Amino acid sequence: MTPALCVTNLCVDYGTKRVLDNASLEAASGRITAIIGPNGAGKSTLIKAVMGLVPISSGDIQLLGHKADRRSRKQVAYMPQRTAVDWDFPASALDVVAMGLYADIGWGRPVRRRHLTEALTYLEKVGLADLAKRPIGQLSGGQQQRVFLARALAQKADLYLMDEPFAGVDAATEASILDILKGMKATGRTVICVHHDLQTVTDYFDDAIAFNIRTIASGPVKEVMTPEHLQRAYGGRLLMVAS
Amino acid sequence: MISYNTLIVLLGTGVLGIAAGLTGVFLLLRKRSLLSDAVSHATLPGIALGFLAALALGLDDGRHLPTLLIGAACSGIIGAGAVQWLKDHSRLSEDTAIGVILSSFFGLGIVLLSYIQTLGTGSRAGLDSFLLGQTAALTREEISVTAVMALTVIAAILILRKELTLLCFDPIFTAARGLSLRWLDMLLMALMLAVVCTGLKTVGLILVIALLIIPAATARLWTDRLSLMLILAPLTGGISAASGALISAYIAHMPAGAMIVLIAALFLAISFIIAPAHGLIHWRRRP
Repeated sequence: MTPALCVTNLCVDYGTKRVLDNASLEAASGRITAIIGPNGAGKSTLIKAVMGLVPISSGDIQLLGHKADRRSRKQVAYMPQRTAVDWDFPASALDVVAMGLYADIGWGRPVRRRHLTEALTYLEKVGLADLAKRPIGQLSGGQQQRVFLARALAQKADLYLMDEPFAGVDAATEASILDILKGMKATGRTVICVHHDLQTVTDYFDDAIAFNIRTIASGPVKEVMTPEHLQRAYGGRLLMVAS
Repeated sequence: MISYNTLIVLLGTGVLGIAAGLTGVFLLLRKRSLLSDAVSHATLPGIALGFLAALALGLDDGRHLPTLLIGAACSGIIGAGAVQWLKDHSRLSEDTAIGVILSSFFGLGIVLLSYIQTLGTGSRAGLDSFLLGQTAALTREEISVTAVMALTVIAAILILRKELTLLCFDPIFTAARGLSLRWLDMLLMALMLAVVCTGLKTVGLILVIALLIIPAATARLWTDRLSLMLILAPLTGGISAASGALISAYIAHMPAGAMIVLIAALFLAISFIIAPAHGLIHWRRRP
């Protein structure tokens, strides 16, 4: 089976600093994969490079069996970190979810009532239908994260790239986000998340990629989450956790 | 009874106020309000050079509106480009770059205007009106240019409302969806430049920024819904512009720009006190 994401010898430079160095990795179709690694390991940059948001210096990216370009990226939904936007924006939860439908609606065409009705079904899926009209600035961090998730769902993609979907949410929200991800997997979608909390990797994910500028290890979580791999990915900083 | 001429002036400035209000909402949400101040001040050298060019070409003793506007637009674009360049290629932050460009372009413009005065052609009076606006002296031609430009801006914003919203709320997501941030930002800048150039004759370049910022800020105080902001901002913008123009038409030597800005500011001040959710009274009452 073709991997959902296949990256070969990817290099990305920010000025003179090399942030991804010959990174190669694969993420299997129909599974939930975590990308783990320390701060500054280039995890977010990796997903941004896959989405064409940062220029790549060299290397090859395949999405769902096709070279990554404008066309193949239409099958991919990207969920930025919640902190990437200013939530003091005049929009309701429903408005933000409807943004996931904009490409469907067509550029230059207005959002119609039926689009809002459709957007509402995605808010229902993340359990926020009753907050549809609430200004996003008045939502809690966890609710904002679920609004982002609903917007990603609205894109009806085959592959979902999520930057820290579990960051800064409470335990209940974390559980409900996990349920949604599992539901997506059950319908044959592929989910790849940048993830920070090493404690939960084995419980939440099928596969993991330990990453630091390049791939340290990848495969089923049990095989990746070994002290030796983590030591190599995190360096001396993980000594306490590993012991 | 309002004369036909006054009525035309009111309509022209009203439509300009509506266009400025709509554009201002997106400038405010994209946090680019102050850049419009740099651009509007940066139009002055272009106006002066346009005047000299028109004079050299023998068009209308220099006060040839299309040439002046093209000059204004060109130097406005150069000003905006210079702010961007300074920000990208130096360690200066955007607000510093704006301060530098705004004052130096404006200074250059004033020097050029003074030079034009020494030419002794006696037509500098026409250029003075670009500083503070002079609605009463607007010609029929100027009013139609204003109306056409403003209506174009309004139409563009209504058609691209969805895309501009996405750009302002979540630029990363916008780019991930395959839209070009560069083009969308340039479009927003173009709309702003169109409003600035259109407003030069009516509000004047020193205060045209107020027509972009204040109605949008007023609308933001009233609501957390973009759709409502896009009604309130053009509404207060249009009313301020038209009523300011009307008052200045009846009081001799009253610059229209200043009157328009004061009325817009009055709307803002009232909103600041009584607006629901974000207003002072409501805020005070909160536990």
